[in-house]
Amino acid sequence: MKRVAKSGMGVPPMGSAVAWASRPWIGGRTFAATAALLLTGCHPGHRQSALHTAAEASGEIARLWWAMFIVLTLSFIFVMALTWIAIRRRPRADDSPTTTVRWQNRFVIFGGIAFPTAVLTWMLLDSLGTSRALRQPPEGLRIEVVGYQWWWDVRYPEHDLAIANEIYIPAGEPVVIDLGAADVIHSFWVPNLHGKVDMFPDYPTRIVLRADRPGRWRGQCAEFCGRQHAWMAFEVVALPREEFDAWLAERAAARAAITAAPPPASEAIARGKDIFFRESCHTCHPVHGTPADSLIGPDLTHLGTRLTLGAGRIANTDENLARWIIDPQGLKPGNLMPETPLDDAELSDLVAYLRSLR
Amino acid sequence: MNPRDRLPVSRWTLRFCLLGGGIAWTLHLVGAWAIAEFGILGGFAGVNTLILVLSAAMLLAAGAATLVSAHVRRAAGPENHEDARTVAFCGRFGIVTNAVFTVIIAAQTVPVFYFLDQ
Amino acid sequence: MKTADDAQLAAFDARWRSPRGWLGFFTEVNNQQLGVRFMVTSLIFFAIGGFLALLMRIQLTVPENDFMGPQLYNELFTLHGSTMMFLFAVPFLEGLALYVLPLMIGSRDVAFPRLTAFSYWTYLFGGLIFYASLLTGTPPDAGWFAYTPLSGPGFAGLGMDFWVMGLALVEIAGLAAGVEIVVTILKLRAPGMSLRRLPMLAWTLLVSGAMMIFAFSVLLVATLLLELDRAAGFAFFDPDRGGSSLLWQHLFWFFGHPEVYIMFLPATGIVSTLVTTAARRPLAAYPLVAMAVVVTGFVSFGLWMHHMYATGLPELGLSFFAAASLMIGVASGIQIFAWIATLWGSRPRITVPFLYVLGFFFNFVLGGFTGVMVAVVPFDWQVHDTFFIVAHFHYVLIGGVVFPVFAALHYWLPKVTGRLQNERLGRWGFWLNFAGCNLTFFPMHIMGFLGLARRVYTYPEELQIGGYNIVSTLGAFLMAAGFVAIVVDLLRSVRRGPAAGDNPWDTGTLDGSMSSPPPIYSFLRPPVVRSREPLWGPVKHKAGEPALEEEALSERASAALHAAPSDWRATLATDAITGRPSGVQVLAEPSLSPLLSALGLTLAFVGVLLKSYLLIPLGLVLAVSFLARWMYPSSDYNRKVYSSGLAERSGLPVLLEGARSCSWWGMLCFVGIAGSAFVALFFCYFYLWLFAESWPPPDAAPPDPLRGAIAHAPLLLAAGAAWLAKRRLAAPGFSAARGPLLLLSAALAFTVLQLGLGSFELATLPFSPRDHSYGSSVWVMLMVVLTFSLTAALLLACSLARARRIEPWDLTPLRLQLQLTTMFVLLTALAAAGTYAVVHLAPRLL
Repeated sequence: MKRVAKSGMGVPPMGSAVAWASRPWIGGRTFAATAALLLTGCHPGHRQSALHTAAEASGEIARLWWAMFIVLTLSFIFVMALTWIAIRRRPRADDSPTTTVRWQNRFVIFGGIAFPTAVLTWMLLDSLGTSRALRQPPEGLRIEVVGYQWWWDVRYPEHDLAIANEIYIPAGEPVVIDLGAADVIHSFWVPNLHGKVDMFPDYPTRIVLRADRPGRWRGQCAEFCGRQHAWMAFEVVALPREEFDAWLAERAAARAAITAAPPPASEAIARGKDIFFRESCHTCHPVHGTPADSLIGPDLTHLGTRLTLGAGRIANTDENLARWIIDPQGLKPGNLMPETPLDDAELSDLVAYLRSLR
Repeated sequence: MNPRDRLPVSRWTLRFCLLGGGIAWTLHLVGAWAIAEFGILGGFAGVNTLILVLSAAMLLAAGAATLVSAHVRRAAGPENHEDARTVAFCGRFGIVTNAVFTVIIAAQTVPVFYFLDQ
Repeated sequence: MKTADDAQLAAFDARWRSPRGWLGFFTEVNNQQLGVRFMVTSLIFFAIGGFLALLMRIQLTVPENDFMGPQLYNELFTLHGSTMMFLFAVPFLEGLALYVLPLMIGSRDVAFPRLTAFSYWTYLFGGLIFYASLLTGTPPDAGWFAYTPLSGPGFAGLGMDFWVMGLALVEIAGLAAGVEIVVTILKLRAPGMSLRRLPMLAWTLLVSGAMMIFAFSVLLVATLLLELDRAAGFAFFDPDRGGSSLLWQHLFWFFGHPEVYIMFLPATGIVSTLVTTAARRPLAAYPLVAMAVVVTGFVSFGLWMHHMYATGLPELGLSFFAAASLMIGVASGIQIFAWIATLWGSRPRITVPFLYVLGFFFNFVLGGFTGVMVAVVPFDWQVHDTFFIVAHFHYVLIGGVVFPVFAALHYWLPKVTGRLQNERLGRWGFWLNFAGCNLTFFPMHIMGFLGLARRVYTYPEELQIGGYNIVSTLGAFLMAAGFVAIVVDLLRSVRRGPAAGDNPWDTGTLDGSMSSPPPIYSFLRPPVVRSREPLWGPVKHKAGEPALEEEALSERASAALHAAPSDWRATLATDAITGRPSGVQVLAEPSLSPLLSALGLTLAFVGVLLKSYLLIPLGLVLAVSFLARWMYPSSDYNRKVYSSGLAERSGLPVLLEGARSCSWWGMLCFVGIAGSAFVALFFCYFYLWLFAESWPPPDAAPPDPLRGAIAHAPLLLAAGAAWLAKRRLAAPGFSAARGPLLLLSAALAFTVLQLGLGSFELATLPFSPRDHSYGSSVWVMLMVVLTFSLTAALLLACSLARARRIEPWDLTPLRLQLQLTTMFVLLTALAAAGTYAVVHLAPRLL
């Protein structure tokens, strides 16, 4: 919060963008500058809403919705009014059976056939037109997202980068996201940006996202995928191009640092790293440049900068990270991670090590 | 005794009148879907043409069913007889049903024109 | 004379009386009794399902609630959805149809009384298996839609086996009910009730019954394939072994969408009936409404892909379904405007049932409008699998189905119990339900837009939807209170409501013509119908119309069946289109066979479930032997019917064959069921092929076409021989039984030959059904063909045994038997030919 105030934007600190930027462990100029931008562009809250749109695609769909909403609300009022009149109205004196039958048939043909056909044909044409407008050539930054029970593996193949449960994209540019699943069917959905696309273990799908402006939104798995379907969320962070490039460079630098294997910055980190391997964390979680390479749980190479833990379950603070390590089942029952009993000192060492993975 | 002999139109005409449009619609939807899904995923080039040909054929079939229904309606003659009334009912029913199916098939043909560039 | 009449009446009454005692409960086949059982059972399931929903609503009231954990929540919504879809809505409407349909169309019972009982028992046992999962502490948890692979062996436990096997039984019950309803409406209408005089409820039930035949058979195939995957290690839905995760969605929704209309159409039939009664005038634009019902029936099969818009499948394919999903709205529009036109200026009396009709108008139109919205592909990409959809389909299913069901409950309960309900309590019930329904589900639209996905056990605070959820939970409790009011009213009225009289609502259809409760045989004398609303006054005939001659025929038949026959149960059969009397249909009497065969089937299914492989053959043998006992005709019975003299008195045949017989139509329905099942299997094969890298997989060679031809061709010969035997028997002046005997023996021999060769082929297939989905699908198709030809062999052997000694009274039944057998053998031959083309030829030609 201080950081935002310092950056001199006269905007009241509110909403999740601030909360995010104010987290002490997310340092660096990239984020301070972005936080300011987010405030101007991002709606306070409703970070997972189909109506608070931040992209052309979701905007088109919202426009289609409002058009349908108006036409069909009027139609609804019309039908209800007719029903009301029908049961309140007195019979006409001159109603003879023959004229009544003729009148009834005309009423049904105009009201029941012509009127719905007109409305529905308009909807069909608008639907097809919108579909066509939403079609995007698959050109742009490539990202691979694979759904696991219950987290997201996110890879940037052109940059040899693997993260989890959050997707950084350059704002204002299309990104091509190739979707897959490792176990059951999941569904990729960031309502502020676009509709959803399912993810299959045996059939590749794809979505092209393009955020109009920098911002941060929440996405969620939309296809029921088992016990923890509810907590299979992710964050999408759109950065201006230069900040995005900086972000990529920071990650590359962090990986290079691990590979170069300099002496650890502190004793705690060194001890934490030992604990990491002693407690067999590495049998599920990969960390770049170390013997940990089996992908059962999320890649931890950049865990230190991760926004959330447990795929959107809790914010990535030191306390929460410690909680997650000792009691993952209490926080997210059913997930694959076992409890790791550690004393306080060991825990803080492990947290220190994980936090150093940036 | 045998009711078959008394109806002014044949049973097959009657069946076509009652169900022709529905069957044409079924063939159209299932056919168009199968061509699209199997054709596109299977990498077949002439998907749009094939669907348009199918649409034309099924529109013709449903239209024919409508005309046959009109014929059934006329063939029923003056409705002074129980059977004549029943046949006339079938005719009227067929006209509207098949006409509506024709409209639905036409509506189902529209999407093709939004995908011609694909 | 009077005493003779009384004796006749007493004998007739005794013939129809329900069997007494505890055994009688299990042998009951009467439509009214079983209809009530269906409705009561389904309402109990409804109460359970509603209770589960309340628990879910409590959990969702506030964000990150810990009232329950994710596992329990997933179990609850799976049970809730499955209960409401499979154990409540369809069975209730089946029960209503069983009860009301014969009363409305002037029949004494439904076409196949024992099938009614079989349907009820399989439904009940299916429901019990389903809930037995609670006893083992493993309720199903993969959702009522059971998407693979989540519902497959790799991810879901024993609970899904309970789900699959229980559901399979309920599907069989649904198929039986579908056949029952269709044949009853086509064949057992009152004389004079031609198609244009069919009550609208019967139109809707006819279409919905036909839809059940096609939809449930596909679902049955799907669930059995899933169980093969789960229990026997097949690979249909396992992506690792060439299975497809999308295949299940196609099969399930090919059933699932029509299912909605299977429930909704009879509900519109109820609304049409009630609107007509309330307006006291005939339904407006009757032919258009009938047309709308038929069009809905067709088009509802063309909507299944709109549950799969987000699958990323080719968008062109999806857009046809968008067009169809939108255009079905026209059919609903016709119905709504026809109801408005009927009510226009009629000053209807606002009774409790009519209040529910008005509630239906509001909720259904709203749900229908959101329905056409979600038919729009891009819009659906946003709201699919969110609470918007939850809101939409609860509006449609509660507004469009439950409200009409409640209306029907209030409307026909006085007929069933003979007692009126309490108006005040009824109004309370309605307003609680109406307010509750809208409070519960309207906010869900907004929640969906604000990001609440479906099937989540909780949601984060930051979605900012806590307030909506509180309103929603409140509404759910109001609805629960409304349901309690209905039940209290129901129980009160059964015990001490005022007498209802014959026709409390002054309805125009035949159900108002008899006492309340109606006699067990419904009609002492089959009614003759001259208009769509026979009770609203006679129709004037124009002078010189030949119609009167028709009526004389009908009246004669009706008079002959006045309190008769009393030696067996019978009702009038009529022509499917013209409604002209065409024969006297014999109806079955109480029997234990339906229960025992249902029990056998249940045993076999429980065997699959518990992996106790001894139970399976045991159960199957039990089921088949009691089915055989049930089906096997009795010569004594034929003689009794033949020599009764009823044929002479009524001027109609009493032993029926061909299209005059209900059995023939029943067989036709069975052909529809088997045909759709085979088409579903063929579809599976090609769909798996579509996604396969190589088909067959590199290490499996397709079966040899020449050997296959030799193995399966005998079935074609068998079908030909059976057909000739049927013709020979139908020839006039038939005397020498030798001809058909020889031909039948030949047919039997060919069938047995195919059985032997086919089994050998299956046993020597160079691949296993467990290795790859290719093997699974080939194996299942060949296996099903063999099962069919085994059945065909049994039927042929049975015909052969019967044809050896023919008494005069057995001739017509034998002809019928041969007609049905031939139909079955022909079906088997066609299935074998299709399978041959798919399995042996396609991989070599394509």
